[in-house]
Amino acid sequence: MAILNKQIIEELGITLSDADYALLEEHFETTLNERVTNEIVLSLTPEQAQQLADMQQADDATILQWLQTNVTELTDIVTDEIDILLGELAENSEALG
Amino acid sequence: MAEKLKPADTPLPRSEEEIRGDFAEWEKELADTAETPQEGAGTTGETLEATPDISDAVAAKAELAALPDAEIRYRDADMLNKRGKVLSTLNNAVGKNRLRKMRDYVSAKFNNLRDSPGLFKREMALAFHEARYQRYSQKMERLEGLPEAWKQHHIDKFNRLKTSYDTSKRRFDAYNDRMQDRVTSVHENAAERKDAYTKYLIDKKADALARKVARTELRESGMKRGEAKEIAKNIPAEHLQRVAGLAITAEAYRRKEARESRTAGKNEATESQLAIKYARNNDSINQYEGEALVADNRAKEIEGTELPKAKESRDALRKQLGRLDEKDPAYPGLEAQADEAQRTVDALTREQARQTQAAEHARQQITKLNDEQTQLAETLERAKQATAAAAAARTEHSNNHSTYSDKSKEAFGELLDSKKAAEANPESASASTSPASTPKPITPQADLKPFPVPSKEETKSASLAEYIATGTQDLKNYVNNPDNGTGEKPADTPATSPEQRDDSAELSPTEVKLYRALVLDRQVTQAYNKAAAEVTVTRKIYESLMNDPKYANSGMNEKAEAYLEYQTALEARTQADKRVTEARNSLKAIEQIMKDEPRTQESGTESQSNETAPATSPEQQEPSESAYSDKQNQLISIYEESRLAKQESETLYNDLKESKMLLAEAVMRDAPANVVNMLKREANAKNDTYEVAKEKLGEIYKRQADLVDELDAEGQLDAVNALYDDNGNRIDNKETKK
Repeated sequence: MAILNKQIIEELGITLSDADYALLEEHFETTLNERVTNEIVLSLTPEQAQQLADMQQADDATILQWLQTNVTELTDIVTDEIDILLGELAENSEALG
Repeated sequence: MAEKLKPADTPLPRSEEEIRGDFAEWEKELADTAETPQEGAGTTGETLEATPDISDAVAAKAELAALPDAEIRYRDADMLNKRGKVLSTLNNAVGKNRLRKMRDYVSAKFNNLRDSPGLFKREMALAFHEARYQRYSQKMERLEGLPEAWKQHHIDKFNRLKTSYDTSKRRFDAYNDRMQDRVTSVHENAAERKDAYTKYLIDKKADALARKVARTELRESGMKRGEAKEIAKNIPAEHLQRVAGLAITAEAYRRKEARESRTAGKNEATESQLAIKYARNNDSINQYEGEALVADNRAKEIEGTELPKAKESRDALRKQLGRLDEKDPAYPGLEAQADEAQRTVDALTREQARQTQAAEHARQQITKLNDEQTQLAETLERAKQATAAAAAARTEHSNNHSTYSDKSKEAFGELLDSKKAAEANPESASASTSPASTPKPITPQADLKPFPVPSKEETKSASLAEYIATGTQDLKNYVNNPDNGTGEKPADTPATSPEQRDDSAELSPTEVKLYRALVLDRQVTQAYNKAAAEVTVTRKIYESLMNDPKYANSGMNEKAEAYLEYQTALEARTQADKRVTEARNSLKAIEQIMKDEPRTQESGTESQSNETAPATSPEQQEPSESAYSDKQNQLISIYEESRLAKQESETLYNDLKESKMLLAEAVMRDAPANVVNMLKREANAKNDTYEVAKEKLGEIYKRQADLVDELDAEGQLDAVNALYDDNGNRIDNKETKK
């Protein structure tokens, strides 16, 4: 499910073609993904990081469960990263629009 | 059709209230997108400047409604209504701010169009004044050689023309500027809204950054996280991306769920408000129908019986008067009687007119209310559709994003059964929360995180329940045998529990309080056990969902839902825990009072023995009813009578309310006429019964008030009132028992 949508872009006064919007969306998601990954990794102990490394073959449910168990502030991390990224987008809306 | 036309939305400018409402709505919807509402977007410029004259708008609305294509336009307006699908599609396609800008722009242009004749008029006036002014300016150059008086005359005239020109130009400029500002302010307002949203996002970013920094500092102050980063470097990027993607998706679903839940709540609230209004209108219609009937009957009675009689009497008196000579001694008396008869006829005529008018007024109100009902029914229908659409969207969303709906029943059937069983029998469910039955942690690192391993909480639930039960039992024992640790039982203390006592035994107010506290304690304990059972069940569902390989790569939404349910259950249990603690504290306080009371009572008895004054307090000396005077006994029985009558009246009122709601629902659902009529008859019958009960209660209250006044005057009232608590409940053993 996409966090960024056209409505947000429109409300920020950014006018983009479909192709540009797709690019922006991809960039947004990639960046968000990287930042969330980084934050999650930073919140782990060495043992937990090793467990995560060992879970490459595990299914989504197991990983999500593991995350919810081991990353105490998972919701806060994701919410904050989304807010930060949307804020950056808002700051740069003049340049983009 | 006329009924339909009334609510038709026209493209005319709307009131300031409506415009502000729109802005609030926009803000709210925007907040739905970004989770938190924003403040401060402006409503200046066009929005305020274009505030219309309401009377004009109403008149124009009526004109439009009278046009032949009004119905079609009404449908268009309805489609473009705020809740319409068209609008929501447009919102999604172009964005709310831009759509708002478009609407404001159209509105501004329309207003400018309406103001165009005024502009043209001012433009013409300006052109005229300008031409005259310029002509006279040229004339002023040729004033040389003229006599001073002529010169002065021309100068004065020139000044007058200049003033007229200036005034005309000022008026034109103001009018023109106002029209231009309308369009300009549309753009400015849109920019302001955009800036407000941008600022809102930037502020949120600042807050998020602050939280992130705080989190990082806390983290770094503790453990060596650099090592974890080193290990993470060896993890393939795809795996890490998948991990982050899962976390983000879960958050996205959580937000979507929250939005949908808010929308559903709003829809339901709207629907219920409309239903209540519909039911109220029905009540009003019934009331007006009754009033019209009464007024009609009265008018008919006057017309058919009273007025002819009065006229007949008047005519007879006049005839008699005509036969008498003016000097006859009986003449003045008869004349006065005739005048009186005439006044009666006039009064009856006036009353008849008044009753007819009242009936007419009531019928008009009924027509008006019926119109409103039709509109309300339509609106209600739309609200229901909106609720149904929202529910369908949620279902669709659920089906699209997971396979939980299809598989869950099968996979979790057992658990759902156990949930039902737990609801039916909270005690046994509570037992399942004992440490022995607590499931094992579901992750290898469960000891690091309390969430999926709520064993401490579960253990607490079981042990707390036991503790509460033991504590309650102790207090019950204390009531049965309040030894107070002194080894001596007070002679006047009852030896049985409140439930076991016979009618002749009497309880002290503290014992009554203790009994009530025990009951409350029992209730909150049961509520706690139920909440604990809910926690167990929701946790099991969540664990099964997470562990089941069948849902390894799907069911994200349902997993998130299960997690939320579990969290909600935990919160409910915490609340129940608090209530249990409060109840227990209350019990302890009463226990303390019970410990102190015997000494107080003892000393009280000693002091009383030296006094000869009659006992007036049941705490000191509780007299039997035979000790009261006849009047006091009468008041006691009236109190009882009024209590019973009040209870009956309340029951009848609730019954009537239910019946009316049923009738309203039948009308709204277009039930067959015979069903509606039957329900109407039933409601009317219940209404009559309720009215009778109300009258009876009023009579009892009146008798009670009279007697209270009498006893108060005689100084006997306090002795009776001492038998009742602040809520009017009897505090002696008989009533408590009841």
